[in-house]
Amino acid sequence: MASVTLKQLTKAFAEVKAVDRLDLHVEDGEFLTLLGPSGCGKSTALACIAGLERPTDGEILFDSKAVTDFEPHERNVAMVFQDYALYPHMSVRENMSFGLRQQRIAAGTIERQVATAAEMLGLGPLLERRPAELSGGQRQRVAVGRAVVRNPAVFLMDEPLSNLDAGLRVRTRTEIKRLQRDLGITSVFVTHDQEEAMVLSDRVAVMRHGELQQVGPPMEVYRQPANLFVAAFIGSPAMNFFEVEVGRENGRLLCDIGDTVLAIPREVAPGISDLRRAILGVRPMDLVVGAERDLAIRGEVFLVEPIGPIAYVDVDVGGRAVKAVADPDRTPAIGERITLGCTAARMHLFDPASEARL
Amino acid sequence: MSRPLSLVLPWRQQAARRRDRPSIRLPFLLTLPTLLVVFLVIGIPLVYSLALSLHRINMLTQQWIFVGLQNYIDILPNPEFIAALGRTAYFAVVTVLGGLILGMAMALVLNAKFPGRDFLRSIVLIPWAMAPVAVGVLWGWMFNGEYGTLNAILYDLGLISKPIHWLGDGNTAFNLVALVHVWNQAPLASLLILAGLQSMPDNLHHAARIDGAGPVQRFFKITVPWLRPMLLLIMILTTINSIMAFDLFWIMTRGGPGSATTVFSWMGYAYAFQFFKFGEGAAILYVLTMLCLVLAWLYLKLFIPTVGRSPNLAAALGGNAAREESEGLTSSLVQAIATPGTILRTRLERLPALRRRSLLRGRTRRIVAGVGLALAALLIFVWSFGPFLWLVLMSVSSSADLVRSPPSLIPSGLTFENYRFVLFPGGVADGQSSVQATRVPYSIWNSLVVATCVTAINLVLGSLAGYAYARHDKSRLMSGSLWALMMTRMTPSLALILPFFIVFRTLGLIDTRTALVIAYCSLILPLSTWIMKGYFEGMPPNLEKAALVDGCTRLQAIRKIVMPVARPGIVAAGIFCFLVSWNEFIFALILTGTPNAQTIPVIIAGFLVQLRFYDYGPMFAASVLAVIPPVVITLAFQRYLVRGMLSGSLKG
Repeated sequence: MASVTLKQLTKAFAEVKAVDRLDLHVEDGEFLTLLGPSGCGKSTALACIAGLERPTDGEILFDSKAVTDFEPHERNVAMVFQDYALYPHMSVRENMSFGLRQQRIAAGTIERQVATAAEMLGLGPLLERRPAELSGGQRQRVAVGRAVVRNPAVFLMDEPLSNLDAGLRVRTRTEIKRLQRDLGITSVFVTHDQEEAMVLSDRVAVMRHGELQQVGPPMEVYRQPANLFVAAFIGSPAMNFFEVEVGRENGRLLCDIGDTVLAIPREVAPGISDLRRAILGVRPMDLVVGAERDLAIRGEVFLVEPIGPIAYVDVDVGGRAVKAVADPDRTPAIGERITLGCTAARMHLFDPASEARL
Repeated sequence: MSRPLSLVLPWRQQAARRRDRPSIRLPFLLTLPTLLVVFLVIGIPLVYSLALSLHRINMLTQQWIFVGLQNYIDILPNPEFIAALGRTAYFAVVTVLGGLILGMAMALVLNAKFPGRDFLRSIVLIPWAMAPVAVGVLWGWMFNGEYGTLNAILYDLGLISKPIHWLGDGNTAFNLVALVHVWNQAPLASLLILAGLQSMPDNLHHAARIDGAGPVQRFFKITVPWLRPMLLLIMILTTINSIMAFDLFWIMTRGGPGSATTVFSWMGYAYAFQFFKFGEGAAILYVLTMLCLVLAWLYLKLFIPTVGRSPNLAAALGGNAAREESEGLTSSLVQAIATPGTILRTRLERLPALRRRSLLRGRTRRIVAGVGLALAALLIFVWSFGPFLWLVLMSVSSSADLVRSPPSLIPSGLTFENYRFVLFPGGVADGQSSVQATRVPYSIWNSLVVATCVTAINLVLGSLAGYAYARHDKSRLMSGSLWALMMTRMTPSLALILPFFIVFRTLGLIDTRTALVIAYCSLILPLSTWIMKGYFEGMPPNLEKAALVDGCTRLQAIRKIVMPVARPGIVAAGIFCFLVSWNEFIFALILTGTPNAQTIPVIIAGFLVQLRFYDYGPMFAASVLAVIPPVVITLAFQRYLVRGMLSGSLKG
């Protein structure tokens, strides 16, 4: 096992900086997810950790030992690729033992390792098949098995679930998490799916345009997004945003949404003193139709979307569409005027220029 | 489709039947022209030449005497025949392996990233685009025993005092022809391999690198297995090309010295057209045909396990395996991990990290690799472009320079008089063009007309047939006819010449461009159909479905949607057609007799027959003119070629 440290890691392709001065530390045994939209540099960062890409600048340390100039096989990493990259002409068994044979491990050990990994992943009956004869889910598990069997110091996963259908994806991610906990391998996982990141990770690192936006435990990133981008990217459905003017009055912040004036406790944004422009964000889950909370917003319902445990309600608030939630068994009628209750502490304020949290 | 009529009961069945039928009738109609051309023009001559080979023909009396298998019995134990067979086998093995190794090396270099890569990818194709006749003229001159380039270099360097007759020695001559054949054919192999390399997912190599496989191991354990279907295709194509190799022998050695370079194809040609023993000639060529078919079959048998492993085929054969699961085995995964969770940790062993270090560390290794790559790129450039450049240089040297004794590389000056001789034969002030040189302009016109017609016909017929095969390969009629079509590709064209000659003579088509167009179309159609079929297969079928939904008829959908989208494949097929028909030599040689229909390769070969020293310059000028159109077209459309090949041949 090893910890992984990235120091000012930069990778430029021609003029474009895919990864820009990335500082990150992954504890030994930790599960860290690099999260961001496509093209944010997360996969490039992972390729740098694997040694598949050579950083333009910066350093990579495994257990405080510089590996920046090491070849991939000298780093003792294993990787699961998005397309699995199973060797098409080898059976499952050969795929899993290929790396071990390169390491010149004794044949008996190889057989035991493969058998163990196969048992862990339920690959036993498939060992003699070729990748072309497997379903997508089976291939995915072979890819995981091929990585796990080497018991690497660092386990790298590049969107390994994105080619699975929805149900299988949810089940497989549970298994990956369990497997990682059991083996205690330091893991770096790349995904653009924020739900996957939340579920799996000890910590989430959100990236955008090659730059790190925020890193922290999933719930911290969810509750305290460091900037507008993180706020918008994390959470589904996305956060509602309003351009507002805020100012302090009687120790409270006042801002208007549509025709409502909200009084927000100043703890939400202690930095604000004078009247200024800001962006107010509030998650749909924190806007509950008809609830008695410390703040109330009024609007008119124009769409109701029940999804089972709750229903999403689209509300017209002063000409703006706002998503809120309602009890699915008591949804308001379309056209009905309703009040949305919300907790002031769940309000987020951002600076429109710097996009940083206020 | 289903009109209101179909509601009426008696009509319904008929309507249902009608609904079934067009789905197969239209595609069959689309392939029909291609099938007709190919089978009429290849099938009948093949039968005819089989008949020929069973007869003894008296040329004077035009009498056919049935002799059964006597021709075969006569030639088979003939030591001359056995020797030619051995030479052909040797030639095939050497050139196929040479082409494969060289093509692989070039493809690996061209697949790496370096500045100027696209440029080099074009340059590499030059030897392949050049007409074999021009190639033979060029290299024949290089190895010329008196004035040749090689002698000139050695002489200039002071290494020899007397010219060496390179082609005078049987073994040397044979190996030199093999080398030239490899020079000419390797680009095709490299183009195909490059297409295969580009289709390879990057992550396969990434995974192998992480697994600790070095470059050499990755090449043999990852790259080669991936390329195996492609290598099979290349081996079939190049084996047939090698067995049929004729142009180079005709130009460079004419079977000699003695019989040292008499391969099978030359022997068949000599029997039929020099000794006019049609029966024996046909028998030899028929043996050649059988040999090609057997070899193709053998390759397929040898490689069929590989083909079976390729995804699409595997899916087609035992598709159930992939379709099961989704839930079944996942639950066993849950059991495996969820229930005995704790014991797993103890059982998976900690393995030592890979200790093997690379020989050279980071920066040094990258520098060494960079220098190696640059050197390899330079070598490829010189190998591919050098001879071409040399041909151009010779075409602007004066004839006197070319035949100096002792030979020398250093020209006394550059001149365009050679081009004046061949391009404006009438109005040259200081000196008269030779008779042969005056024929050049019209032969270029002939080549252009023939190649353009062949290309146009191929594109129309081939794209329709290719489309039909791509979309309807399920039915037995279609797959069977496709298989038969491809088998004709395995027939050595040399075997068809004799019957073509006799049939065309009967029809009064000898010495016409029409004869050439008919012959070339039948030869090239299978290949162009195949290329386009591959391209169409790569296009989503929903494209036409969308067009049908939007109100197009099936033909409109093909014309308005499918064809425009398939342009890269069509362009690639068009280039092939043009190149092959522009460069073709032996059919043109046999089927034309006068400058009326002679194409430029025939005229160039004619220079050699007359062998006048003052004609060397014009001959090189004519050769340059002959290679410029195909080279320019290849360079201009290099990108299309790789793309067309990629989709076209991977399925093969």
